[in-house]
Amino acid sequence: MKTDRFSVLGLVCTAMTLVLAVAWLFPVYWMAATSVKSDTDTIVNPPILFPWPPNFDAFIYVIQNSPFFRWYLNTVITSVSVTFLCILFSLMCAYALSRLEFPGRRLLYAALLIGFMIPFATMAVPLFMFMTRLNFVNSFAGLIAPQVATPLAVIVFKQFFDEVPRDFRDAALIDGANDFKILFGIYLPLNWSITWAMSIIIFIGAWNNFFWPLIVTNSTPMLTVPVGMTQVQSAYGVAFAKICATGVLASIPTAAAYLLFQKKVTQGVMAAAGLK
Amino acid sequence: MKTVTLIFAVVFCLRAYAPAAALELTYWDFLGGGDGIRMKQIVEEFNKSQSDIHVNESTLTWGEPFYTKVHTAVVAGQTPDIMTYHLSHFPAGVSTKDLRPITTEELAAAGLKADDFQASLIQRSLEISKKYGGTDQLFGVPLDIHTLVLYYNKTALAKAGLVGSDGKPAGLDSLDAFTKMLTEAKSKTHLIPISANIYSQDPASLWRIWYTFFKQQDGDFVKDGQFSFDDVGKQGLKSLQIMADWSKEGLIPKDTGYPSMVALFTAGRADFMINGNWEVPTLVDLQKQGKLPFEYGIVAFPKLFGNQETWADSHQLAIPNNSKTPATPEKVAAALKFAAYVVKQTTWAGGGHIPAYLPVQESDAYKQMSPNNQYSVQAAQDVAFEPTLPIFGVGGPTFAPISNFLVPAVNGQAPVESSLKQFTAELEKFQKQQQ
Amino acid sequence: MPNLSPAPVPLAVPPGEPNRPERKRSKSSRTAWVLIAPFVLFYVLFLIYPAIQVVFLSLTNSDIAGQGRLIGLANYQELFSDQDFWAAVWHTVYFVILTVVPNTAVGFFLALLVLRLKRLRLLILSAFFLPYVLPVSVVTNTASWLLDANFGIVNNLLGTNTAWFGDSTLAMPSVALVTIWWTVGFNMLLFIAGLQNIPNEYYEAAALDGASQFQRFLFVTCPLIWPVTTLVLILQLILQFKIFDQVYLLTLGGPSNSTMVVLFYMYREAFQQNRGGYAATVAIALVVIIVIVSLVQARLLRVKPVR
Repeated sequence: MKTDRFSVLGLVCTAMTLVLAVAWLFPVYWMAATSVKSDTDTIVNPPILFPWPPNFDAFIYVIQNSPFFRWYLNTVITSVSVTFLCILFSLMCAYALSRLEFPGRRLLYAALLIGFMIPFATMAVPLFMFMTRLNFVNSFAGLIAPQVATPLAVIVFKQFFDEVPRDFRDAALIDGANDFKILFGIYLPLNWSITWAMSIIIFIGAWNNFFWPLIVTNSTPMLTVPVGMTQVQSAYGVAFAKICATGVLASIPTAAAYLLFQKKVTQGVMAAAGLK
Repeated sequence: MKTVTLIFAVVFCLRAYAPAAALELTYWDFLGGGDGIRMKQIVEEFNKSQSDIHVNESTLTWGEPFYTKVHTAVVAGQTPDIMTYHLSHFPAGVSTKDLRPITTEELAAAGLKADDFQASLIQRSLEISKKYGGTDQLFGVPLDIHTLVLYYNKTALAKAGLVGSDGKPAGLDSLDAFTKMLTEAKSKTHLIPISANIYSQDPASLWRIWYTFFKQQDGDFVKDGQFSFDDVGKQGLKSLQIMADWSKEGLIPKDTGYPSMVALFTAGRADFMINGNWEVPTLVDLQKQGKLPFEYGIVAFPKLFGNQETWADSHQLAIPNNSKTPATPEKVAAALKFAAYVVKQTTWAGGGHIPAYLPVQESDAYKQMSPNNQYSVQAAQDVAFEPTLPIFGVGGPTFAPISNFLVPAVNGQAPVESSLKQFTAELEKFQKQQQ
Repeated sequence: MPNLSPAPVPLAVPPGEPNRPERKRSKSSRTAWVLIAPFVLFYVLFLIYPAIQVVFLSLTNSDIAGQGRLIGLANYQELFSDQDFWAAVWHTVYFVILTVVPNTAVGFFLALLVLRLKRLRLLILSAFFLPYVLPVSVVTNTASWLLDANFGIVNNLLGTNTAWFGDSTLAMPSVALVTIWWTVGFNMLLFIAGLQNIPNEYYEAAALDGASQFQRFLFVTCPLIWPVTTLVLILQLILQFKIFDQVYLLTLGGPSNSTMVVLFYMYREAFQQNRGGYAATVAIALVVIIVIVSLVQARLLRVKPVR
């Protein structure tokens, strides 16, 4: 993008970038470092920047006293289900909004836009009451159902489907294909990047969702990771190492997933804004 | 699609494992940390000791979220069979009909009777039952009393010559003597005199200290059975002023969260800590591991004013009120049988609490429990429970104005008088809204 | 009769443009119903229906269980004169001011920095983006620990005892700072994509015309990145108005109500004061505010009305 000139300014900029990157990562590093210290070491001043050897007492305590692995499982089940259902339904709905005529089309789109502006927390109480009547409280159904209908994916997919040339569909129709085949056979393959990107974004959102699982769950085995970790927090005694250990355990899945799928995430999100 | 079916199949199997024909009890508590470990141990021992009843324990978040969940569970008709509950929240819980009264016969069937428990507890509990529930039955089985105690760093104080021949700190007989001793401690030991939790995100500790001062000056929120603000502006103001002065003179720290408060004391950076008895196991464990850099002691909270009353609360085991599917007699009997088992354990006292069940409280095993015996006898006599008004208690609406007005006043961020006035105004607003 | 036109059809076709005969229209309707049915079902059940209930609740004096009676617009009247509510609105606006523009600007700045690199690009990009994938409870835990008044490393390094979340002037900026640290990665990615989309020819042409690097930035980059900037600003505005989790986990609305934002006020009214009806009123007021502000912002940024 810019010409590759060697300059002092350039060097300074690169140095500044590195410093900023380190500063950005430092809080995460510090949390991890604290989690492997003994309780008394966490509060010495000057602070120990590189704890060695690592002390895993805090982790052992947290794992022994809370069903962290059950929480992982719950969160995986919930997030995967939400992502799968949301993306599937959004693709279908976006295609219809983009390419098909039906009464109420404009109304639906407007409803989606308004829905995007409504904070979830405002509907927590009526939603909870509704869950009670459906007997969904403290169950996977209760965790998953309200998170499926996120307008964001539909809005984004519709924008992308609008950009696909109409000829493709018209040609396929002449060949005798129906809209389902067109959607999954043409439109989806053309938009893999954005589908991946939205899937990951929805997944992260579902995984990190805090407020709704807090409200709809009642028993320890049913909690998701973000909610469960706030419970371990109420440990007595000098708790800093334990608090950080909980944080590390809670971060590992999404951080690992991101680092593994890094390229897909960044390419996907960039493609999203790029094609706009 | 296959993967989804597989996932759902796995989930279904996970939920479907059914134990033998034991009666299943759902038990909700809010106990985390050391208390949580002890309670888990008790539940496991109960389940192992017999095969008729199986208790499934769930720990929920302490405080307001717990009571909100209980209330929504009652409204939804999907309640646990037994739960922990604070005595201080009884006025609110009983008046919103979240709790089910327990009859004397039901108690007897589990081998319990009211006389078995500490009299002051039962008396207060019955007062609440009468005023808010219109009944003379109890709404909970008392498990313990927990109160404020004074932890002290014996090593540091002894070096400064501030420990008496009985091993207890000097200056515990009046406010002036205490303040003087603290100032001396500060200059001689170069440590923070009192480590306390003064933090807007966690106003409970400040409230307990303020309330203790308030009660020790014979202040009261309830006069003739009615909510009264007379004393708040007098004794309440004085209490707040004292704490603000202490903070200004560096006798208590500013803006210290709960873990920080404990850390300051256990690291040997403070002379005293004013905290609940529930941190006793922390000190016991640290000392056993050789990680406590000093010798510690505990005394009951001193008499600084006209009397020695000290804030206290009580964990109770209560049965939620389910009007949609009322609890069957079998479940109630099982729940009370479990409750009886819990209150008869000395394990719980290992958490520093004072057992409410007199046979345990007066047993040799408990009397010899150290360091509990340094404070428990005196503390049990000094209990001053929270005002019997629905707006008070753990998770009550009063925590917000305490956090918003009293904490900044003590921290020196807001003037004491106007803060107290705003605090009182908020309480008045709440009281009106309750009617 | 074939309904194909062999001539190229413009990409951006506004909806509702009829170009099919009747018979095909009704068939496409049926297909459309099937396609939108699953999403609409969930949407209506779990968003529209509760939203309508919230409106209904706001006209009652229900407690949190939904048990009460109709009282008409009394809640709204109370809302208008409720000092605490308007204070909460102001605090939320303050938070929005502290986050929307800075978060966008920092995102843009970081994007520029990242794009200068070649070999280290993905690594540095990950560093800035990583906080975004963490759950909010981890983020707030980390922040509380780093900024602890007595033992936090920030205070250790600065040699002070500042209570970042305990001081009424510092609390909101601290929450804003944590929010920016957490979410800027996403904005940065959008800006990177946008910047990469600017064709190189524009820069080369400008360079040929003798423009300096700074001038190229000002006259090529800035105007062409404007659409992405607009998108980020709009998303940020809506997002930050909805702030709740960070306040719930870090400050509980304190100290001295300085971080009491509208959603937290609603939560308190609903769950602590047990006033479901009034809380619903607060919720509706917030949605109205968000809609109005979004429309105003869209107008100001001269965004074309959505199709």
